[in-house]
Amino acid sequence: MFRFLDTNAQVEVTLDGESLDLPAGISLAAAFIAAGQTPMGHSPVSHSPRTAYCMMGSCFECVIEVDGVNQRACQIEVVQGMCLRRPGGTADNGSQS
Amino acid sequence: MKDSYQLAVIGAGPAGMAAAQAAAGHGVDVILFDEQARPGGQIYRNIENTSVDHGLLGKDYAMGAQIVQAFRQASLDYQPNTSVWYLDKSRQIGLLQQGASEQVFAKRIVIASGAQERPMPFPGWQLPGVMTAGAGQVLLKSAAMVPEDGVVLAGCGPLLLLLAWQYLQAGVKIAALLETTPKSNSGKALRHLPKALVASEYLFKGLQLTRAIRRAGIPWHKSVCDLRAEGGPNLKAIHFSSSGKNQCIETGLLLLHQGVIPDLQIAQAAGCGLEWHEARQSWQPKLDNWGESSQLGIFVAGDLGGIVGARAARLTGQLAGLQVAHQLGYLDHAMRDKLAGPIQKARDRHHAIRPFLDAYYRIAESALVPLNETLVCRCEEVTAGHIRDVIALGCNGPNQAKAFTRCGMGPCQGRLCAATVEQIFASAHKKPVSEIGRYNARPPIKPITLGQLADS
Repeated sequence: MFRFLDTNAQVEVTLDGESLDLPAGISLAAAFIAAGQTPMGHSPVSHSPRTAYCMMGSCFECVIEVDGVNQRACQIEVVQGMCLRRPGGTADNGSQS
Repeated sequence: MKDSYQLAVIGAGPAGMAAAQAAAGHGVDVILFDEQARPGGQIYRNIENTSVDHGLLGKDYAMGAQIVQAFRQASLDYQPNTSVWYLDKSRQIGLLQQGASEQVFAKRIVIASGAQERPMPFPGWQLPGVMTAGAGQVLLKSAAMVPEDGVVLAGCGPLLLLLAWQYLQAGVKIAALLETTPKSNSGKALRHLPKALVASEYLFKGLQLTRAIRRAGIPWHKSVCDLRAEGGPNLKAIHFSSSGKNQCIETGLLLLHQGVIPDLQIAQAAGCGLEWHEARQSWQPKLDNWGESSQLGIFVAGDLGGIVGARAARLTGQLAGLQVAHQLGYLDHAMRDKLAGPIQKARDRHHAIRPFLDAYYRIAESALVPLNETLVCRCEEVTAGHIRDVIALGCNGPNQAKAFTRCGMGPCQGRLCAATVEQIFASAHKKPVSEIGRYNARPPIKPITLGQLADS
């Protein structure tokens, strides 16, 4: 979807237990988009694919579990070693995570 | 951080920075909270650090460098990376900083939480690959990211044109610009033009952007309606109609914009009274000439008080700061008025462009009330049809619709559906939105875990 105007260093994170390289120095949501990691997650009600929409903290579509706590990926910088889990509760288990 | 301050400012955009500086400059003990890591708000986002050439982003962005530099030098307590999740009328503030919650009291508050983009719901707007024009700008300013070739921009408002211009400067190939502004708007805006001429720089800027986009030869579709995004899992195509013809463009990225509206959450939680602005089709806090809200001691500055743009926002911030300094005894009546005079004059000059812009970019009625199948609430996945169903059952307003459908009860707390739900009610009841009302907003207005709450 997007490309960089200049080159970026990389950091390594874990996503759902697997290692992933993401561009450094930018927000976690920007890094996901730059790395082509979309959809970022799935909605809790119908499990439909979602990705960051507003990038400024309003829409909460980029919420992801970062080191055990749900956070808006557009509001935090990507950091080496982050342990990430995609949201993805489904309607049948009633999960809101 | 201390337990108590004379003034707490919320937001480090142009209005918040100006309010904090104006008050601190007269001796007021000021603390400023901002969610971002660096000052500048959305408009001057990342101005100290961006690797993107300022020329590419435009003159108005470049102006932010000096403003932010001056703010850095002011003697006040600046707290970045801080969310305000609680504010009440007794001016108690709940903060979240690096995962820990804290409480602070302030004698005066200036809320400068700015604006958010007006939601633009149509079938498929929740697909990955559909984002806002503001999101495109955030990616450009903060991550030096631009779309791959073939991006489509859709909607109405100055920001859409500015973004198209910025992308052109960066060498991005734009597949199409889908302008949803109704054709009849220009005629209706004309009567506001004479008054707008005192702020002619806005008009010239608009003409410049328009000319550059035309010269670049971007397909520019006018009076666009019936937008529909298709794909799975990511966006694949956008369908629309223009001049009575149905068309389709294949694209993986669609950036939307239909104006900005005040980000009311904090002001509402603090109990500030609101009023409906018919021309802007949005709610805004009721304010006096200094920006003081109906909750005495709580001020509002910048776009939160009604969309005014960055330059006027700065001036409204200065006025709020001066009045706070006056109320706290740092400035006498005469001195306050002497200092405020030229600022008020400049503010009024910037305000003069607004009636023209409001009329020119007024959203088509059809864009305010989406089709039944459209998701209104993206979090809880409530459609416009579901809202109309509960209205037919006798549901009396947006707050009851929340209880009936969970619309507005997801993580975004109604930020992305409030504006649409009130329009659906207004249209169904054939009443103005001012008689429909709005969702209540209650703390916590930003996400906080029970653990963090218990520790505060």
